[in-house]
Amino acid sequence: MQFVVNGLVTGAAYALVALSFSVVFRVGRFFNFTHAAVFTWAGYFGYLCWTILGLSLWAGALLSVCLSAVLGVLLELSVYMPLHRRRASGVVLLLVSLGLYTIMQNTISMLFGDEIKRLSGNTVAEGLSVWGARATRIQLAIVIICVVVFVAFGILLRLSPFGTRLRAVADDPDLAAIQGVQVHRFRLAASALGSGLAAVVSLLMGLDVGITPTVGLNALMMGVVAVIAGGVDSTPGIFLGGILLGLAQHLGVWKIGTQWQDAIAFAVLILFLVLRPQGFFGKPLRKAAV
Amino acid sequence: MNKRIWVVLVAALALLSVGCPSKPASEQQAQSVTVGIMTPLTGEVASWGDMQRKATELALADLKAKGALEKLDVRVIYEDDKASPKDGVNAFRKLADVDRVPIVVGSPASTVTLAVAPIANEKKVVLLSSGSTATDVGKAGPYVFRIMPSDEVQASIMADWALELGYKKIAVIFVENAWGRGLVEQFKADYTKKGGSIVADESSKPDTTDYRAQLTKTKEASPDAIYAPLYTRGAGLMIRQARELGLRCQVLGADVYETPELVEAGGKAVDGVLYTTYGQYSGQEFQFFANRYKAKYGRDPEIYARYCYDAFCIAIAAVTSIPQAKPIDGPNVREALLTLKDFHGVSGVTTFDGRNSATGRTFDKMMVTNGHHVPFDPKARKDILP
Repeated sequence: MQFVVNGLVTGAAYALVALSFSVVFRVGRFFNFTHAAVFTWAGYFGYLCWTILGLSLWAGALLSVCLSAVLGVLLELSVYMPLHRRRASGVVLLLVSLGLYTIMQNTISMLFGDEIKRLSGNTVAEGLSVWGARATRIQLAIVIICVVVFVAFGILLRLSPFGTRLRAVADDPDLAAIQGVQVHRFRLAASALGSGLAAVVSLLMGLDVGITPTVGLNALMMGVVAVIAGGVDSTPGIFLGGILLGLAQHLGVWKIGTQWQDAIAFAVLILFLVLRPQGFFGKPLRKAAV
Repeated sequence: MNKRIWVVLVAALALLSVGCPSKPASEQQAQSVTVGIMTPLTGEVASWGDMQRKATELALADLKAKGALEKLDVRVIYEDDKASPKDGVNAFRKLADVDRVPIVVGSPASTVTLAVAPIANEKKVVLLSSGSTATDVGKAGPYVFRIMPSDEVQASIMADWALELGYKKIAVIFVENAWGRGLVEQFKADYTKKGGSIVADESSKPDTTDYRAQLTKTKEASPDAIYAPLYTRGAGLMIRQARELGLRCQVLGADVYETPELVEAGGKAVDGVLYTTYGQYSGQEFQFFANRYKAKYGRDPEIYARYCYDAFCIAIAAVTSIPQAKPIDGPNVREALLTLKDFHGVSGVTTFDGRNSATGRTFDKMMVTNGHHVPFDPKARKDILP
């Protein structure tokens, strides 16, 4: 049972990372490495707010999420928007984001050091009992917040004008622009939303196991696997993708050695790429897009 | 006009170069040596690198104050090995090929020392480890030296200790590299031979932060204790997560536990943890050094600071003992080290006695009490951790 609980918690975190990445990916249409950097920075914003400034849990969390959203918007404004205007290809954007990621990660190493920073306090409490397994409060919070965010996001996407526009821009930015959507302004809103979401997961994971300058990339990799398993355009698919990946990682090592966890994740990735590249619920692909 | 400016410029330059005073004759005769320090300045165990850099700076200042460097001009070059074999090889090649150092002090990480050893032997550059305990380091070749004891000893001390404490069933969780695997293999061999049984055997990658899968499997096996040669950060997190999962058995650790990161990452959960570490020495050399270290850096000298301080001073002692007629190069430094006898340092007395591992070194038993690392006290022992 403990394996299932572990898997659900990990899966919920992966699903949230995947969702935040999919928002950024849908409107940007390229593999954005700086999303990982924003994720890491969010954790360190939390460290700044809670440990250094001594803010309360909620105030610190709110401020960190806002700061991360601002960081995401600034990146979009200063780097990606000019590149989009010049119609830079996906590969160029990917390389730029990789470079920026490296700079941002090393800035953290320089400012805060490479050792682990704990966001939760010094005390250690035994976890609460759930179906005969143990889970900490933070772990339960991850699962609950994950469900709430996914439901809210699903509603937002289907029923609000924002959601319609998001889908329109994701589908074809040029056509959306012709229809009167201000694509550039829209990209800003989407990167604020994606970065804010990433910050929520980052803080939760930081409270659970602590933060290091490389947490972002590890999380992003698993998030991307979940996105591919779920299908980038399907919100329920991404949720299922994340949960499935978490469960596969934890149940898979029940009988075999734990050193195979990452191998299992990437085996899931390869399986999906070969058998269902469109994800669970995605429609079959018509064209390949980078 | 332009021409005139050029003439003036050239004349001025010529005057300047003539005007430079040449070095006095005595200084030109002073020998010089460049020592490479290879240590993880970044990465998971960046704290080791920080301690070692501080220790080296202090050692250099102390040697100068003692007048040991009057006839020797010492330059130190730091390279970052990130405790990863790949980065270690790059760092070492740079020190050997570009800086042409005769001796490199480092690395504390066994996995790096073992990766670099063949290159050190091939290039005839001495590698004096400042913390590698892996058994194989002792047999890594003619140019690889270390002043700390071997993990063979460490693991068998732990095996005996575990049985002495009455732990009959042990689960192991270790870091998947030369150091972790070496310790666990030796431990399992000794422990099972003497009647203990290993009930779970799990490993993790060096940068793991989530140990719940390993711990869940461990919990199912309900061991009396966990033997966990993990790097410090991982160990702290693992113990914390064990408590959160309701697994409260004793945790037994190894030498790296004696760094502040254990308590930083593990919080109150690490109280009562037992581990083995290199022999503690509290003689006057140590007291003198500890006071200076604390005055300068505001904390007690950690294990890697002590051993790096000694490794660096031993390197300089070896270089100064080379006769004037001989050049300061790898083979001569090696000769000097092999004949080094009774070097009184802050970690104890070092003698190589013709071998590559210092003789007479062993491990001590330690425990964590209220966030402090103290010698093991059977009375304060807890079987169930907080």
